Amino acid sequence: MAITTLQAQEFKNELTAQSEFINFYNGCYTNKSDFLDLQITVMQEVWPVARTRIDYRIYRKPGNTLAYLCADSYHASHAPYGMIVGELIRYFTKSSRREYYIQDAQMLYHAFRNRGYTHRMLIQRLGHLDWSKREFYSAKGLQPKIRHIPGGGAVFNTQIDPVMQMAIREGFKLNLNWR
Amino acid sequence: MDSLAYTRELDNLILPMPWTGLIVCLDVVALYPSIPMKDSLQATLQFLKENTPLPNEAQLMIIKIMEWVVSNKYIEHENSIYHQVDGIVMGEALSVMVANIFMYKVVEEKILHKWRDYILHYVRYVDVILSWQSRHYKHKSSKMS
Repeated sequence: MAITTLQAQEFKNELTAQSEFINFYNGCYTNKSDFLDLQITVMQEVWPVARTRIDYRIYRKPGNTLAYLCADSYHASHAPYGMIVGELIRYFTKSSRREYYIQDAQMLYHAFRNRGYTHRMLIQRLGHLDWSKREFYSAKGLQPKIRHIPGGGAVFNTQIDPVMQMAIREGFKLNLNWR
Repeated sequence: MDSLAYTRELDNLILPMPWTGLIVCLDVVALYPSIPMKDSLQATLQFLKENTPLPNEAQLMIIKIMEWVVSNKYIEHENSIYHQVDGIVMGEALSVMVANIFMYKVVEEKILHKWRDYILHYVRYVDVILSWQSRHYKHKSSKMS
């Protein structure tokens, strides 16, 4: 028996009841949903194996005009290259099928062509990254952002804050007595 | 968990065949301006007690500094300085942590425990929740009947 949307409403109501300050927008779907920049679809596959398959690809808001940097802007020449490479990496790490990646890459190509970039420049970048590098870039993106050191703690840089230093020299003290 | 990490979860998520469940997507309305300062500090203190080995003095010091940070935020607009008195400030490093702890301790914790048998998969990114539900939720009253 299929679960009805009343269950989603009940789940939302119970979460909302936990705090008088919190309210939720509610969306309830059976075979598709958007989460962050992912568009998720559930499909029933019958071949080669009968199973329920989850597919995902890049989600764009309906108002997205793909208005990237114009070719004649005064940015350094590496800026548009970085944007294309960054977008392509995002496309293939967040697409479950190669055809989704190709569709998105084609869309990117036309978006940049509309902003005045040459076919040659774009093909150079688009040809540089292909589906075979997907796993490499996914694994790289999933690495922890903090470099851990043996025995605990994390490596980070510190510097003296001139404002706080001056304030402390002038006699400023933090009152750390709780209650 | 960001969307790249979630793609890995989706790759490993096995749905029943045929899929008759629901995908519930929830988004908190204006989370940052809605979070009450006092409740968020209490939630953070509780979180520190339950999840860290820090001594009490260190926990209280963290809370005291947090209190100072969240209650001293000012905005300048057209030569006037405004003091934000509701919610937590957007764009500050501490706010993300406070929002996450508030969502976990105050909003989610009890409900997830209660609904654990009915939720197949659950993920939250600050104020956006995605929950895969594959079983009918039964009230205590309906269970009894």
